[in-house]
Amino acid sequence: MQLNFLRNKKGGEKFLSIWWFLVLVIVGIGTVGAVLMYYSANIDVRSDEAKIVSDKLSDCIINNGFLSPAVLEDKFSVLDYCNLSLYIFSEQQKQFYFKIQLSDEAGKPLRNDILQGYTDIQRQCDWQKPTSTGGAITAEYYAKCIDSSVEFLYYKDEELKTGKCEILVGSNQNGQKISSTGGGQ
Amino acid sequence: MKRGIFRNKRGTSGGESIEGDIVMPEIIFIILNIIYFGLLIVFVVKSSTGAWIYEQAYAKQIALVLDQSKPGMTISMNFTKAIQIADKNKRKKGNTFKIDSSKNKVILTLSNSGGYSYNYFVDYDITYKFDGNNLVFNIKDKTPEEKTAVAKEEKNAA
Repeated sequence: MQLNFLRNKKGGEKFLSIWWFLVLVIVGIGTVGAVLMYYSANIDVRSDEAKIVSDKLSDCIINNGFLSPAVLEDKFSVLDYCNLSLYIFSEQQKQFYFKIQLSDEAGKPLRNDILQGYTDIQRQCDWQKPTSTGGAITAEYYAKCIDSSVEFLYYKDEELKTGKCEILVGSNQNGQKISSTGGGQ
Repeated sequence: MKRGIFRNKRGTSGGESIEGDIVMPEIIFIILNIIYFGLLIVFVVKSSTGAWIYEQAYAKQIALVLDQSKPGMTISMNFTKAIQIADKNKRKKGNTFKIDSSKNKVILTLSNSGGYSYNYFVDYDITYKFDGNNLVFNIKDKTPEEKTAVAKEEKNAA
C-alpha cells in the first residue's frame, strides 16, 4: 500500500501547516475564552454586605449589652433608628431583607418580629438551610444569608432580665453596568 | 541584485537545482505567527488592566466602606489605580466618581464606554472630594429636615 502523504516532503509541510493553523485556532479560542470568563466574573460581596447589615442592626438596637428601650415601643421604626435607607430596603428594590426576633429568657417574643425588605429573600434563605429530610438547595442567584444571635439585658418592671435577639439578613444586591448612553443593565 | 536571505542556499534536492527558490512563505508564516501571538498577548494584558474590572472593584469597595461608616468619620481611600486608568482613557479625575444620594448609589466611570454603579444602604449625609490621588469621604448625620425630605423622595421612588 502506498502512503502518499509520507512520500512527498512538501506535501508533509502542507499537512503540518494545516495542523498548525488548527492549533493556533484552538489556542486562540482557549485563551480568549478563559480570559473573558475570568475577568467577566462578578465580584460577589453579598455575604459581606449581609454581615455588615447584621452587625449594624445589632450595634444599633443593643447598646453596651442593653436593649434600647425604644425598640419595644409600638411606633419603633428600625430604618429611622438605625439610619438605614428606606429606598434600598424597600420591597420593590428586591435587594435586601432582614428579620429581627426579640425574645425573653423563656423564648417568649418581646414584641412582633421586625421585618423589612424583599420578603422572597426569606424563602431563599430558608431553602438554603440544611433540613432533617435532605440537603440544602444552593443556587448562584439566591440571596446570601447571615443568621446571628445576640444576648442582651433589659429592664422589665424594674427587674433586670436577659433576652435574645436573633437577626436574619439576606442580601441579593447585584451592581449595575452602566452603558455609555446612560442606561443600566 | 541577488538577495541571499530570501533564497534557499541548500543547492539541490533530488538532482534538480532549486537555487532560485524563494523562502518568502516561511518568513511570512513566522511574521503572521508573531502577529497572532502578539495580538493574543495584547488582548490578555488589555483585559487584565481593563476599566470594567476596576470599576466594579472600586464601586463595591467604596459601597462597603460607606456601609460600615459612622457619622463623624472621615475616610481617605487610595484612588491611584483608578485615576491612572481614567487618564489612559482620557477621562478627567473629577468625572470618574460620583454619588447619587437620592438613590444611595456610587457610580464609577473610568472609561468612555460606560461605568458601574453599586448601592450603599446607610442613610447619612455623605460628601466627598479628591485630595491628590485619594478620595476623601466625610460622613455626617442628616439633619431632621433632610431626613424628612429624603424620606418623602425615597417613598416616592420606592
